[in-house]
Amino acid sequence: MKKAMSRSDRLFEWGIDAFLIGVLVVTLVPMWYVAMVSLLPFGKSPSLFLPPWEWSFASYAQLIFQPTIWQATLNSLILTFGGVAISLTLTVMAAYPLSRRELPGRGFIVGLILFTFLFNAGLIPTFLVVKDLGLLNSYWAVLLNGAVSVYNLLVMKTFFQSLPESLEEAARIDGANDWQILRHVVLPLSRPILLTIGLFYGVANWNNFFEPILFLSDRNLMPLPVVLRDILTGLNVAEYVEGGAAQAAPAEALKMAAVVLITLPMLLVYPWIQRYFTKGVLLGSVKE
Amino acid sequence: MRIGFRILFSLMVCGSLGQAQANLTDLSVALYAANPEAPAPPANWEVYRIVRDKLGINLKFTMLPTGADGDNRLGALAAANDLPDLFEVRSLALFDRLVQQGQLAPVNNLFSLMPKRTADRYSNTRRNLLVTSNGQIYGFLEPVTLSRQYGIWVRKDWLDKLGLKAPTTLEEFFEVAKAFTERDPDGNGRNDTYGFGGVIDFDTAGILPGLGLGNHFQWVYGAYGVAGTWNYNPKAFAANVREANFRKATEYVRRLVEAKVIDPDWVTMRRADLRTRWQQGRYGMFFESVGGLQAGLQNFHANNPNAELLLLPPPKGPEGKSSMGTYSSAGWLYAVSKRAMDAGKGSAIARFLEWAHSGEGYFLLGWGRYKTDYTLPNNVPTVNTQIPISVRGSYTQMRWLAFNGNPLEMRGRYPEISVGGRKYVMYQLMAQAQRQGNWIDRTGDLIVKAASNQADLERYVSENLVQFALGQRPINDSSWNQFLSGLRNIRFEQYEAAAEKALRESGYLK
Repeated sequence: MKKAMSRSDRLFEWGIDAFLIGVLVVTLVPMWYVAMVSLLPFGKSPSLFLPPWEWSFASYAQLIFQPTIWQATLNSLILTFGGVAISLTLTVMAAYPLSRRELPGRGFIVGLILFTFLFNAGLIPTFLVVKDLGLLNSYWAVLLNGAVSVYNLLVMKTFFQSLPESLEEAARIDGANDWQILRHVVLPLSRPILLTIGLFYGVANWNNFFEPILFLSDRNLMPLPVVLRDILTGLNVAEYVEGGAAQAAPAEALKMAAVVLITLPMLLVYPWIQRYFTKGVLLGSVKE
Repeated sequence: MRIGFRILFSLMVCGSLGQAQANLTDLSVALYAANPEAPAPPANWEVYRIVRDKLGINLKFTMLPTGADGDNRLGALAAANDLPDLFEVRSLALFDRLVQQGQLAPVNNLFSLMPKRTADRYSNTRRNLLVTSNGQIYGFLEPVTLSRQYGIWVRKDWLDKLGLKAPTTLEEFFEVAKAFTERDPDGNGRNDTYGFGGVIDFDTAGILPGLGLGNHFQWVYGAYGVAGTWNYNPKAFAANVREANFRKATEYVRRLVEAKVIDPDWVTMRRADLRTRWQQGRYGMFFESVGGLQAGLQNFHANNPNAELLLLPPPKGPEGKSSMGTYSSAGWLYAVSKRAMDAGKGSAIARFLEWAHSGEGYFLLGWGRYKTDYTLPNNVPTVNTQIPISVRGSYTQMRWLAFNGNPLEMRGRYPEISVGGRKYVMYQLMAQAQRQGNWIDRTGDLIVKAASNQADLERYVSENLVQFALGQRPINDSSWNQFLSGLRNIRFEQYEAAAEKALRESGYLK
């Protein structure tokens, strides 16, 4: 039988609800504003409320029909999926051994990894390394540079450590080696953390802006964020406009439409892995 | 016999082709995209073939990322000793750094190899001083052609409706602005118009905004003879902010604000907001470039079908002075890497630049594919607007290497257009803006190195002027002196002394 809540409990719950609704509003309002401004027709000032009969999709059309957009989207997809695959593989392969107590020099190796977390090599040395490896102007420069995030590695290592050792011992008694244990025991149990860290890597790769412009010189290799920025730059330089180069939507609407376009894929992906997301982060954060 | 001849002939052809191939000079050129919204030129761009066949150059063109990211990339390339052979530099600070690091080559010897281009573009010895170090010229500094395209536009239809004349003085400007604000010039029965629209905008676009309130209010300071950062009077060099008239100009801006004839959002608005609002028809007068006007005319006339615009000369101040602002005659800057010069690529660079300056090279780089991207009725290059800029822009990504601002080019770039039943001759408006603005050439300003606390200096002056203009601080002897004495605390005098020294040494101040 459900125990009736006291008045103070109810007040507390209402307070929590009100607080969370406030947080929700604070989170949603900027997103709503971005969406509204992206639908702004010419002649209207940006506002929070734009009636549906005034919505204009001209800014989306103007961006989507740019010839560079589709190639850039393909590039972004390659960098995102390729990046997730490489980063996740490397992270798992580093985190699993480091999670085993019997690994000799484990503390030293973790220390070395942490050192790179605290002290960054900097732009120029990184560029020189990439150049000397002959990776300039190729996707590998973007995919391999910073492929393993120390933060993600430590979260995953902690998650692996939290798995019961008895499972591993049982598998070993059954004759499984380290690879088989990782593949058939550890990874199937690690779906939450794999999806969570995969999402982290996916978002980072999808939004990657600086490394492509630093390492890639071929415009046909540029990902979506760079190309969208260039399109907006071109549309805003009205001082050098040529005859007939008038734009179809206000500059602000174009900017916000670009924000929506770049955010949308990740927003669509998130609900599918949301149920793993919380679990994954929480499991990885507690060391037992 | 015949077969033998054929074989011999084939061998000769192959041999000569192989020799031509061997004599090709690889030339990497990196420029900021002229049309950032368009992709790079395709691999089969005819320019690559023509340059190879006629100039013996194997051209490799890359586009630098726009904005400060381009500087970062060039900095990284320099650190890796991997700078392109010929490249564009937009930041004079980066240019200076590359010169100091020995990454750039002097280009003095190349001028004689491209006589036409040099005569038209690089013969201004004063401008070349900006890229001179230890007597050597380290870059090709182009003249600028569009820097003075700004002005104050007034709604002639509103003037006519209210029975007013276009203002010629600051006092008349104030009265007209007041009438536009208070007498419902658009006749909609609502109090929703303002006399003047301008924003605090330091984006240079060829104008040198100077310390203070930025490009859009230079005309007020110009009317008091204190436009720009420096007073170039050789006997009394000083920062204009110290001049008595600088305070008077600020008082005038405050008067406009207090009378509520300026859009009250002027301090926080951005240029894009300003453009939206003048296109909506909210201003009787507004500050805008000819290019910005051209881009917004369609929307403006859709919202204001009966509107008519006039370009005002800068209003005169109490002593009869007037100026729309200060400008620099220095345009794009191209540099040659030392690596390229050491590899003997100097003559190839000169050949390519000379080719781009006129004739075939000029049209190919500047206007794209003949009869596809443009045509030449009456020798005026006319853009084919049926092809969107995002497509034809690919073929003119190097156009700043070619464009030189000649009258036919200006006609092509700023053509006669009809919008809302009205005819706008854009190139004439461009010329009018340049001619009637009484623009002050302050190219010398660029020789003054930024102070170590440049951002603090600029912010201090700008913030104080905004406070004065908004009425957050009174303007009287005490408050103004307090403002000026505050300059001492941020080492303004050292900056001033360094500026005077640089200007005198370079000959800009005699």
